[in-house]
Amino acid sequence: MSRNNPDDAALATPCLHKRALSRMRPSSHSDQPQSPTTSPNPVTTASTTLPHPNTPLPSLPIQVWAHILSYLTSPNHLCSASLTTTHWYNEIISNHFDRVWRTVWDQHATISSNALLKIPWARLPSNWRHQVSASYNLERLSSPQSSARTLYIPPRYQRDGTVLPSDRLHCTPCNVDLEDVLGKALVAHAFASCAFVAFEHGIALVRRRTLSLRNNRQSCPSLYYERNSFVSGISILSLRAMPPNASLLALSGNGTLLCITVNPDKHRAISWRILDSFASENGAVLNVCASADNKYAVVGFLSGIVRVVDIAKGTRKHTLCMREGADIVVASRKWVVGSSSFQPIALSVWRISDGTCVHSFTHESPGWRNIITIAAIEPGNSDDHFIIWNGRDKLSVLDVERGTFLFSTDIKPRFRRQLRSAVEEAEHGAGSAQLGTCKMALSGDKRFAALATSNRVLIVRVASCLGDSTMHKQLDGARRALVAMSTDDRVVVTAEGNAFGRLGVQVSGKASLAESPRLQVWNAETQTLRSEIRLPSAASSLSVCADVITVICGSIGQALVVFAGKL
Amino acid sequence: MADVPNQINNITLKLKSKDGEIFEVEKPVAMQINFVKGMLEDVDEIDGMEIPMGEVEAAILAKVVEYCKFHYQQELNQTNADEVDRWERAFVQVDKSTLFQLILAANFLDVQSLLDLTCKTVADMIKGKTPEQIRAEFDIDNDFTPEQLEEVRRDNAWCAEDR
Repeated sequence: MSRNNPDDAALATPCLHKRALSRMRPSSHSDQPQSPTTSPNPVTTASTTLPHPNTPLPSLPIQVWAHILSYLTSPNHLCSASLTTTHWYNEIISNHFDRVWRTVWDQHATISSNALLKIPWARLPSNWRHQVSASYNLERLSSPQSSARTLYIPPRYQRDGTVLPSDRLHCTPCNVDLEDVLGKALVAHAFASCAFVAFEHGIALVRRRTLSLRNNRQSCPSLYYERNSFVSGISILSLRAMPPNASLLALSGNGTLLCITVNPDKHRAISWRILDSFASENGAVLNVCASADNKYAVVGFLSGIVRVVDIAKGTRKHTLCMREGADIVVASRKWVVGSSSFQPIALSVWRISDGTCVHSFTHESPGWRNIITIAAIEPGNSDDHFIIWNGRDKLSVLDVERGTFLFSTDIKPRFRRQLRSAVEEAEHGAGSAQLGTCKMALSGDKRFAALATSNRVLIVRVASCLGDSTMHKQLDGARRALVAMSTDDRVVVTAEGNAFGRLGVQVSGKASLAESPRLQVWNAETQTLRSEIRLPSAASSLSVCADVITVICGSIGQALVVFAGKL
Repeated sequence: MADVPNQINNITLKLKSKDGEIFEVEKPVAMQINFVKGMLEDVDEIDGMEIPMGEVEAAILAKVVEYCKFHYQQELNQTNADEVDRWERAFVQVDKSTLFQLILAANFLDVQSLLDLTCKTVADMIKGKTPEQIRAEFDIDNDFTPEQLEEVRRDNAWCAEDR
């Protein structure tokens, strides 16, 4: 019913009210609406009077309101109604929105293919309302000034909910339901112009292509994917080398260490070779990394074993051993550092050339008293320096040759929050091997570090000049964040995660404690929030390279790839 | 056999409103009210039976009876759908209070088609209105916190631009 409908006017105008009432009144038969079949005389034996128009409205039961709201079928009407009261909002969200948003989605996909080509991101299979919202916000992220409402094009669906086979054949993310083909997304890594995503049953590369459409150069994503048991179930990815010889180290689901080479320009965009196999090893692999010179792959095991593999030869160079599980392993050109992040912490340092253990620290070692947990370790500017973040109040630079700390940065007390519970700490993930690599992001020159705490992200200067060591700024609102920094250091990207996000994939399939987790893009210099997108569940993997952002929502196995354009 | 339907039609029931008024209604008309139908299932002698209609007041019960009567007649005579539509639109041209009471009555008496008609009418009143106008129209309090409201608005941003 539109506002111009005379029936609406009748409802709104008092005089028409009265006329309508008199027509309806059983005692006033002459004006009663007539049809060929209605009797002009009512059967009633008593004269009745309708309630006065100004009588307060009786309250309707919730289920009646639900029935009324079911007649709202357009997104605009539902949006307005949902903003009226929380009862309506809850009813609309739970029962009505999704089918409407699905319609919006489907209808929009048929409007303008040119407009849809501009949507530079891969599918986010959540509920349809979130998908529309996320798609819209992503479009804003890529072109804030855009006034056009554009959405990412969905694949066409069959009645059973799967994607039409014909749509799966197109090599663009627009038309492929990757979840159908490859299963859940597990982990992802961003490159300069593409994103590598590992799935349960294969791997995929989302590439950005530039198209010329009537003198308009537009970017559109294309997809290369392979379903292959050799590369299925990759749970750990570590960047080995950036383009032009982009490669990753990966641990596949069957315990094989792979070296994956990515070449977006080739027809077969991804190739791989097997470096080693740990299928018969006693204990799970916790972490994989490449040495700074890209010569060696270092693998940390739950049993405390640390293996060093020569990447070029595909042979094992050393088998090292530490007293606790090797949650975090990192390597420079000269040293391998293995660390257990849970209490009691242990950290061992080996010379990479001969495998000699030069140091073995615990929390009882001199100078280590305040380091109860280790959230992240990264190689510093020198081969001998490693930057250690304890996840709470101290950022330290360790000179591994001497075995002493060069300096430590104390986080100001006002930035700290008292620890509350084991659950909160687990959510924070400071002591989680799975999230350790995402708790600290270093700038390209390694002079600044973005550090994640349970309730904010701090930007701290990593410098040897002690006068500056306490300088830090905060990104307030970035809770329980995984953190990454763009290549040019101007943007910090955070995604709310928790320690269960990744475990959820492997253990329970659903274990996200975070409510409304968000992907947030911050200006590193001004610490202001530039954009944010609501994620369907807590993030378990975050990676940023140039203007490409990849996020994995681990508990539900969804990958979000953003080509942000103007990061 | 031809007399049997007439005999059934001649049976009348007395529907008693909350305020004590009696509506004499032919049985086939009354049987469109599921509440009545359910009550009569286990009763043998129903002619002239008086049935209390709960909290439904006389004015509203009159409207319900009118509605049921029209629909009984239109089923018998196969009335044109356009005419039915026109009659129904005129039928629900009442003030909001009456409309709400009709909804409550239809819900209580289990007259599904009347419930659908009245609910759709209220839904039509919601359409095209802003949240503030809807609240004013139906005397609804805004129980959102500013933060919640902002969050919902952000979720609905795609839609809001269209207005």
